[in-house]
Amino acid sequence: MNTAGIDIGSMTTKVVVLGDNGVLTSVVTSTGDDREVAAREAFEAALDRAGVRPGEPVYLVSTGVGGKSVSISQQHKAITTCLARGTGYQLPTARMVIDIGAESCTVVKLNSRGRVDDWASHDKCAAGTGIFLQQMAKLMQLPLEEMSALSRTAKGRADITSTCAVFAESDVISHVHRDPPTPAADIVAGIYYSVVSRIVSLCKRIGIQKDVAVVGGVALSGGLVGTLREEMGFEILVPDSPQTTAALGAAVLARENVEKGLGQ
Amino acid sequence: MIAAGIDIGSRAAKAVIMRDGAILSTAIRDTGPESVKTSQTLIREVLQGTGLSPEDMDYTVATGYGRVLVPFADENISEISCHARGITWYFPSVRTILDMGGQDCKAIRCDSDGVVSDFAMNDKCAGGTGRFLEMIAEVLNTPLEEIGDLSLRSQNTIPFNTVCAVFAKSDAIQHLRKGVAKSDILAGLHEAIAVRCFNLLKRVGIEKDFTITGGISKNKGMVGKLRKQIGLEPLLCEDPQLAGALGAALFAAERYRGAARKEEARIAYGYSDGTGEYFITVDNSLCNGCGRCVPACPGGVLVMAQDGNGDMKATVKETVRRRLAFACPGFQSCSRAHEANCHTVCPADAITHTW
Repeated sequence: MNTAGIDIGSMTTKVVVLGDNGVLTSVVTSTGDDREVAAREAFEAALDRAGVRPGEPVYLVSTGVGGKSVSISQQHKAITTCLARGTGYQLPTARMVIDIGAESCTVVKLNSRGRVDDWASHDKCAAGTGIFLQQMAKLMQLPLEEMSALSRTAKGRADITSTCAVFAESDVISHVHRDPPTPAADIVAGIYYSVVSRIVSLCKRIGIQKDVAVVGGVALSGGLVGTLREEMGFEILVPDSPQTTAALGAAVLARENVEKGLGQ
Repeated sequence: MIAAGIDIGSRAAKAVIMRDGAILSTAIRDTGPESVKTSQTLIREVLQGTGLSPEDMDYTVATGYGRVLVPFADENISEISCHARGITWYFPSVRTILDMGGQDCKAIRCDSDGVVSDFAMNDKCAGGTGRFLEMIAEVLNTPLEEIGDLSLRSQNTIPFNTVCAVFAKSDAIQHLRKGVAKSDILAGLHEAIAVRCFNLLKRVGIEKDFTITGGISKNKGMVGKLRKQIGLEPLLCEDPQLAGALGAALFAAERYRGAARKEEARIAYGYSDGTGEYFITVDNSLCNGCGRCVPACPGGVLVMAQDGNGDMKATVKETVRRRLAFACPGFQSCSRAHEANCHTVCPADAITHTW
């Protein structure tokens, strides 16, 4: 039987369909206002793309902030468990995974069997999340991809002393209007540093343990991952399609359930 | 004798002129980008119609976020001291003050002379500040002055579990799209801020009488939610936004007479956010000014600075206050890493951490 995982985030919904020989397909769509509708559409699109015939049984596990509110799944699992399984599937050497999403950041420490050892997360403040980066990109009038490329040309790092996204905006504006203005590349480097320092302090709370993997939508930003690497002082692993790691983990858990005979 | 108090806040600049112990004139204007120019315009504005010129001031005290940018001031005094001083002139019975400003929020406890005995500040997070309310007013397309009154008309408060301005904004937009009344959204947001202020006040201890100062105290909806949350009727003076400038003017008068100020006691620097509470507290009555904590801190967080009486006391550097949790690993972590820390080297046990 095919299994699938769905990760309903605050901004995007991710679906991974797992066949007998590995990942069949993965889909990323925007969540929008109605999570139920978004989940159904994303799930159907993924099944269609995976070539699963209508009516064929699929065991589905859901996760993410909206995971609980979805009726189409057979089971709901905590995001930490899914992150652990997904990362274990893609990067077996990882002992710590950092998930940077749109509105939250979760850090999970894994034991030698790839199970959750400890975790920490923050979801009550925009600092250190994708929204923070998006707001700054808007302010700088740069697409997120260009921001990433620009950061590599930075010669220095603008000092952004505020952690709060609202106050950091004023910091950025004052850098832009300074005489002479701070180079855009340096400001971007400062923005990345602000996010990274927040993430590193979250990691330190549960203790950093190698290998470290970074997943979630923000992991697609090469510039940010580069800054994280510099701050950590060692290589950081990024899986293929880091955005769907939690959904993949949910699909792996679905597979485990089916193997235990729960899907009958 | 003419005494002037100038309070350059992050959003509004306030001035109070006192003649022989009575308020002669007051003024409020936007701070704008150039604090130096603003302070000069402000002093001319407040003196208009009084027949006085800036040269007639016997003593001028500047306070607030931009206090160092007032070129004609004789002295700078922190806004915490000034708020306590100003409000106790109106209400000598006040012991607990909540100062809600444009970019920060402070809880102050003071004695009957208006001397600060304990103090906690949140200046890192926009939640619960004037900036937050400005953003919300903008999203709801309602003038800032009206949001408080509008929130009072709510029939069904929408709960908000975040005070992050960014998240609150997107939540508010979502509610609006679903057709929720503006008043219900506003009531929920005001309530979330009241809860946060209550937690800050609890750090210093809440004692009767209670008062609210700063620009937000003019928002009736906010005052209502705070009254409900805290369970105390706040004493509100005529213009609570002027409390800081008034305190500065009172200090100016005192300094001109040559009186010395009593010392402030405990000061808690820091903030709390979704991840926890981060406060470093320095007890000035214990700190002997030895300075050993400054080189001991592996994060370089502390510096020695003059307090109101000119004595050297340990203080948290202004540049790291907003990112305290990142700069300071907390002294438990220091101890674990076998490093000396502010706490272990302090002979007077004047420094404590919450984490």
